[in-house]
Order: sequence, then structure tokens, then C-alpha cells
Amino acid sequence: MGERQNDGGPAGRRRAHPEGTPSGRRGPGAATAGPDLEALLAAALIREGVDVGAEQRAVAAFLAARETGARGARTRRRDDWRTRGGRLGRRSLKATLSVLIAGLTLSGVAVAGIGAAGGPSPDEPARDVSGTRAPSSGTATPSAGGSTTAPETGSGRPGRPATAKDTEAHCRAYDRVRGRGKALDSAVWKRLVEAAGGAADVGAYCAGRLEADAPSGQPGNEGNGRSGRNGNGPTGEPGANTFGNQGSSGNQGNGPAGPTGNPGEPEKSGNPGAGRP
Amino acid sequence: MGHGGESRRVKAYDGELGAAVERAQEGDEAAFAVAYRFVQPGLLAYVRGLVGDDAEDVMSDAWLEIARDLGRFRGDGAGFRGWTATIARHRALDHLRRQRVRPRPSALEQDVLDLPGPQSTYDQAMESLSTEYALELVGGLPRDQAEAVLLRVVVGLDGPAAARVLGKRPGAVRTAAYRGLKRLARQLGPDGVTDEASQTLGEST
Repeated sequence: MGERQNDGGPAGRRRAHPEGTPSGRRGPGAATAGPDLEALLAAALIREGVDVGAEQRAVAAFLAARETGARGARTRRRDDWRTRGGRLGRRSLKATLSVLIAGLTLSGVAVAGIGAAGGPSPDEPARDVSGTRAPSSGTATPSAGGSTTAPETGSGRPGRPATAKDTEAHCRAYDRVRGRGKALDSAVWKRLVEAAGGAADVGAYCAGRLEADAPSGQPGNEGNGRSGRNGNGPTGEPGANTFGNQGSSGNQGNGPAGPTGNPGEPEKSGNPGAGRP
Repeated sequence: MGHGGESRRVKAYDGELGAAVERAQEGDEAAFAVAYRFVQPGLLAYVRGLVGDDAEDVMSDAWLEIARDLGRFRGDGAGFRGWTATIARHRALDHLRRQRVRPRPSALEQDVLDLPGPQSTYDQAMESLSTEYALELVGGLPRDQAEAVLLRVVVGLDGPAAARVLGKRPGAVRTAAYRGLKRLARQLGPDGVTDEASQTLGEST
């Protein structure tokens, strides 16, 4: 302990900071006030005056850099310490651009989503279609309800029944695109051909399909007329009881209609097509 | 006088410093020397807190880079202090990476802080804070607090500038500086030790 007291006067070790020697202003707790403590630390840590040799080396480096023409060097981001105003403009421009790009990206996604939802999607489950679309298709095509389950029973492919509307449309379009090559390669046509049981049978298949959908007033087709009527009943009326009833009645109606209608009139395939507007 | 702290004192010269930097960028070596004398003491104190006795060498390297890249710099006097502090810090971290040397052994600082100082009073502590002891105290802080305190107190940077030098958010740096200063104040408080304690460290341990 004595050594400490005998230790040389503190002023001897202190660097050049005469103003840093405070006098009597402090009491306990004053150091927490900040400025005092910071001044004290600064005075203790900073050695005023610079090493002349080090300064000369720095200046020599400066002169060398000046000779090599380094002054025109490009300012990198880390070299730009201008006040915030200058940088703010640049940042807001960047923010604007990123918002714009984000907006474009999102709207692109939205458009793609609309395309995916609205486009023809043959893979839609039949249950959804009959649940959501049956009423509207009932008004557009009078006997849609009755024919909904027909492809299932007819083709024996319970996995992917196309909707009545789809099948009708495909059949109609088939006449138009037949013989034009590529169009028939698409998945929709392949499915139609598959459902018909071969390319040669598409005509007969479609004739059956379209006939089944024909208005009940068409003469000479008892079976179809009956099935059409059966289908029409529940779908056409807004107050249809249940879709379950509709489905079963359609089945019953189509069951006899398919065998009697299709094999008996292969030559009629042209008629419905020609008769269509 | 002197109560404003080093940062305030340094800031008072920022106008002159900025003008000197501008002339130096136009090729005036005398102005470059002026700028050097403005910022070197603070930077040296900061780097000493990072690398200890090798600070002079590290700052020599830093000044080579500062002289070389001065043409790239854009900003005023305060900006120049931030820019040079960033370069000095990078050189110091490079140095630490090469040397794998801890600037201050923790055992030493613990001994210093644990020494009882029955003779000491608060006034004595305040009047006799030596460079070595101040370094020990700052070195006893967690790294982020020590750096935040040094950049603020000896380099004279404000919060945003210190945050940019350290590559951190201003709020985090402000908090670190506050905590560091509070801890130092506690250690220097009435129950703290005097600078004589560090003087006799070698003999008493």
C-alpha cells in the first residue's frame, strides 16, 4: 500500500491535456453523467502530438499516390461519407425500383393464377364440376344433367369422367379440327379418342353423345328423349331437390338409351354435327 | 473546460479538417499533413484499444491506404474521421488475424480491477487516470462495448458514423456505448480503484 502512495505524482505520467484536470466539481456519481467520464477517458487515451517520422511516411505515401494519378479513382460505396441527404435520394430511388419490380412480379403471378384457374383443365374432378357447374350448364344446354354420368357408364372409365359440356364441346370441335394434323395430338383429343375407343369410333361416339344432349323435341329417338327429359327435370328447375337424385335418374335414363341409340344409328353421326349452328 | 469530451473538441475542428482534406484531394501535401495531425491521435488511441502496442505499425499501414485512396473519398471533416476509422479498423483486424494476439490479457485486467484500494478516493481516481489504466478499463469491456466507447470518445464519431464503421445498426452501437460507459463509471466510482493500483500491479501480483 505504501508503494502506491509513494508512487510518483500522477501529473508526471499524464499526457498533454491540461484542461482535462478537473478541480473539485465532482462528487460521487458524477462519472455517470457522461461528459466528465468521456473527457477523462479521452484525455487519458489520446496522446497529443504525432510521431514526426510516421507523419513523414504518410506524406510520402500521399506524394507517391499523387504521382501515380490515383486521384481520379472511382468512389466506392464505402468511400462515400457524404451527409445523409445525398444518400437518401439514391436509397429512395432504389426503394422505388424494388417496389416496382415486386409489383410486377406479383401481378405476373396473379395473371398466371387466373390463367390456370380459368383455362380448360380436363383433370378437374367430376364431383366438383357437377356440384358447382351443373345449374349453369343446365340452363345453357338443356340436358346436361342427364348426360353427366353417361361417359362413365358408356366408356367404362370411372377414373376421369369429362363433364357433359366438355365432351360436347370437344365433339363439336373435333369435326372442325379433324384432318388438320397437330391439333389432334393434344391431350384433350387423345382423351376423346380414348373415350371413344379409337380414332375411327370418335364419330360414332360423338354422335351418341351429341344425340343424347339434343333437345327432346328431336323425333325418332325415344331413348334419348327419355333420358333428356329425366336429366332436364332436376337441373332445369332452380328448386332441384338434390344432385344425388339427378345423378341416379340420369343413370337410369341413359342405361337403356346408350345401347339402343348408339349401335343402331352409326350413319346419324353426321346429322347432329350438321344440324348444329 | 474540457467537460464537453473529446468528441466535442474534435468536432469543433471538423470545419478545418474538411477544408484540409479538400485541399489534399487537390494535391496539397501540406494540407494532407494537417489532416493527418487532426485525426492521427484519435485513430491511434482507438487502434491501441484494438491491438495494443502494435498500434503504431497498424496505423502506418492504414495511412498508406488512406493516402492511396484519398481521391476516392467523398465527404466532409466528420466523414473523413469515419472513413479513416474504417480503414484503421480493417488494418487492425487484419493484424489481429495475422498475429492471433489478444490485445490485452484478461488475467491482467482482472487483477487490476480486483485490487483493493483503501487509500483511494474518487477524486484521486479521476485525477490520476493513466493511459495504461484507461486502456485496461476499456479493455475489460466486452469487445462491442469497448469499440463503441472508443469510437465515440477518442475518434469523436456520432452514433450513425460509429455504426457504419462497425457495420452494425446505430441503435445497437448506441446501446453498447451507453453500457460500456456506465460500466466504466461504476468501476471508477467511489469504490473503484486508483491508478496507483495499476502502477504497482507488477509488484503486488
